[in-house]
Amino acid sequence: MLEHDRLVQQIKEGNDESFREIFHAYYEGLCQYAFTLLRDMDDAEDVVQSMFLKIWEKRQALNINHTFKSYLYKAVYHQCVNQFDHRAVRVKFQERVTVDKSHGVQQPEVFPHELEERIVAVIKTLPKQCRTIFMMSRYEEMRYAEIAKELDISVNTIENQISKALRILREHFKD
Amino acid sequence: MKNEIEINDELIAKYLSGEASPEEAIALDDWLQVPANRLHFRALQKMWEASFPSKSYRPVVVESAWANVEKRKHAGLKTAETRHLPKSNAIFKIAASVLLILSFGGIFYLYQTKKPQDVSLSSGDSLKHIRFEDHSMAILNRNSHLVYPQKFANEQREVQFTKGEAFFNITPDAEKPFIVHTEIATIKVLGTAFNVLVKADTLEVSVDHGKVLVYTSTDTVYLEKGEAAFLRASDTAFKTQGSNSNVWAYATHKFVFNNTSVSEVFRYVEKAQDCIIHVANPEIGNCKLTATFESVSTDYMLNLITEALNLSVTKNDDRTFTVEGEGCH
Repeated sequence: MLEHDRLVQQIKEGNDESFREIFHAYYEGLCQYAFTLLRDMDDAEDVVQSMFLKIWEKRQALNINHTFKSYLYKAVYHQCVNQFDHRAVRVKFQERVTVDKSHGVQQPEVFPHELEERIVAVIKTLPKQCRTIFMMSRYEEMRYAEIAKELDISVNTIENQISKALRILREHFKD
Repeated sequence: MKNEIEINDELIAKYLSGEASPEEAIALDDWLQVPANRLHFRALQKMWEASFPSKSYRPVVVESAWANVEKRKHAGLKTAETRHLPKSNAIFKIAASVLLILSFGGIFYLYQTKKPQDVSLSSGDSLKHIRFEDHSMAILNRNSHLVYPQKFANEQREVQFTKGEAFFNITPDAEKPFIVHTEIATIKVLGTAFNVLVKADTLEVSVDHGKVLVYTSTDTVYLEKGEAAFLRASDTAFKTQGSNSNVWAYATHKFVFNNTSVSEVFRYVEKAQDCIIHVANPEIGNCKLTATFESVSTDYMLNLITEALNLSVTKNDDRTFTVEGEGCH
């Protein structure tokens, strides 16, 4: 913590080396987090890099209440959710104008590799509710709240079912 | 600040689904500093990624990212103007659609396009050749209609096929599936050639080469070379059978007949060349033909066929022919 306070102070003073240090310490974790929210690596890296640049540009006004890490994660989260909301609207629009009747669950890609084909086979064997929820999350990119509303179940159930799907998949492919 | 968040599979799944709060993400990140935890996480992440390969996490190269940030930092440009990663952000992706209005939870969202409008193409009474920006191509048969963007979105290439018949030859791009939306089902491919026919409420998808996925909310089929799937709008499951490349001869100008009855031969020729062939004697249709034609005129092809079978052909006008002769039993 003290170490971070020192780094933040140095960044405020325009110390390039401290900025570099922070960037290296958090870049990967932040990108991975941004990726889970945006599901696009280019967008994820773009968001994280832009955020760091913004910090640098506004370094003099930098005001960090908690840890620097939580500041960074929150900034990335808000930026991504902002983009995510736009994207959700877009996905909804596409569904409406294109295949109106496909209110059900979208299917995966054409899988070029054997592992993925086997995964599809396992997904097909999942219990019905588990499978529906997993596919809605994975392929329709619906948020937990949207799935909960659509299926009239609790977010808690969704959390359980998705981790269950993941665990079953994991057990099938324990090499 | 002490982390009270417990890391378990639920939380990992939540994180991978893009549902983790910043606090949870931090807790997970702290937890990942332990190598054994990281192994467990990577195993679950691998499963998650493999179930949707086109949307996979790609490890970052921190050094090159830093170099990029350095460059932009020193250029002293505003962040908003300096994005130079190959793909634009999600906000621009939304702008891809034409002016769109939709109601969502009772509120109207309004977006104005920043990109060129989609192309809406009707073929009328001649074939139309389309070359997409990724060099994929489509040949639209007569009386067909396709809507496609001048520039594809970042994650996938999407077109809307509303009616008629089209032959697609898609440039492979494993990162960006090519998707044909129809009223009846959706067709998804990575790189392949296939024919799509939407007639009345029936969809027919035939594969020339490569792999094709056709799906609705109730059924899915994988098709490979030489396979075809049929679906009526009222059906819940696809019917599959072998495909016949003569169906899309209108696009390829290639006919392959292998002991095919002349009545069938003429049906394919009529369809592909948009002509009418009258048969003076129904027994002509019983004759069998084995031959391959590539890029030849209708006149020439009919001359060759009739000659081979000891028949004769007369051209009535540009589009109608009459075939005469003894025929076969």
